[in-house]
Amino acid sequence: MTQAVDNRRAALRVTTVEVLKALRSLARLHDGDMFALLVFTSIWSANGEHLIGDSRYAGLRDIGPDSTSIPVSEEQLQRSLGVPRDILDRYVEMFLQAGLVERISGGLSAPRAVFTSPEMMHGANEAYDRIVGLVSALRGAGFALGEEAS
Amino acid sequence: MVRIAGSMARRHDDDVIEYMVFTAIWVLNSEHLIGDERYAALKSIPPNVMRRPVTLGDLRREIPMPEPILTTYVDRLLKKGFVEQAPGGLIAPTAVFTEPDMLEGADELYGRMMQMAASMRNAGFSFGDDQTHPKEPS
Repeated sequence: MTQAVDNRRAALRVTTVEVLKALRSLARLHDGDMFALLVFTSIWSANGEHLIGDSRYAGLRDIGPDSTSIPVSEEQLQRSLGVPRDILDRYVEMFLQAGLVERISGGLSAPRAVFTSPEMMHGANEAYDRIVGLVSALRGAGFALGEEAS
Repeated sequence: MVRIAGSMARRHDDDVIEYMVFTAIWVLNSEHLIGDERYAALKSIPPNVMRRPVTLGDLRREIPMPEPILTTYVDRLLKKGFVEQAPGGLIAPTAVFTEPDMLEGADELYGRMMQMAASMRNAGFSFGDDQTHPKEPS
């Protein structure tokens, strides 16, 4: 049996470079502010995390209706991002003003309508392409992503 | 990805922005080493002389965000010793990466990547076996 080559640092380097590229590009959706992208992503991913594995919402255009969204409280959001509350509040306020996020009973929710806009659809499609690009970059670095994952 | 960032931020007092700024600095310091087999293994950490210093301008382009937030976090990283001012710009020095909790963090990040790959496989994502967009119903 041959011993697997330790290329963990190489894989991390490639992955991190590609992830930063993707974030930078997707930050376009938020006037080029990468932190705004992170806050918004944290909100919608918390809203829809329970839908992972639900095949009804697997296709690009199969966006879960608002009734499936689980609101995230600002306290939860702060815990997950760990940033000073005043910075976070500024971004949340900006999203509320822009209609990207709504305050509903239980917390914040990114409404379905936001994701149906052409820019957001394009962004989601690009995110998918970036994942494929990441896999390709990792393969190029000789890393078999996940093949040995159990 | 959000979960991974949250978990990796532990070493930065759970602050995701600090983690991101630090990450961007070490990435820019070492991006040119991709493909260099000498620094592929977990404990094969590139020496300081191999690190390319990064300017604030590079950093702005790498992780665009409001200037006061970025500079606050750069100052914080300098104070904490995660980053040093070198001729030509900022570097995340080798010594930072040899600390046991950083090595553990790098290993954990690798493990989380593997988990993410497994979760994505379970969600039906084929890792490049068919690298085209799946057909959408018209």
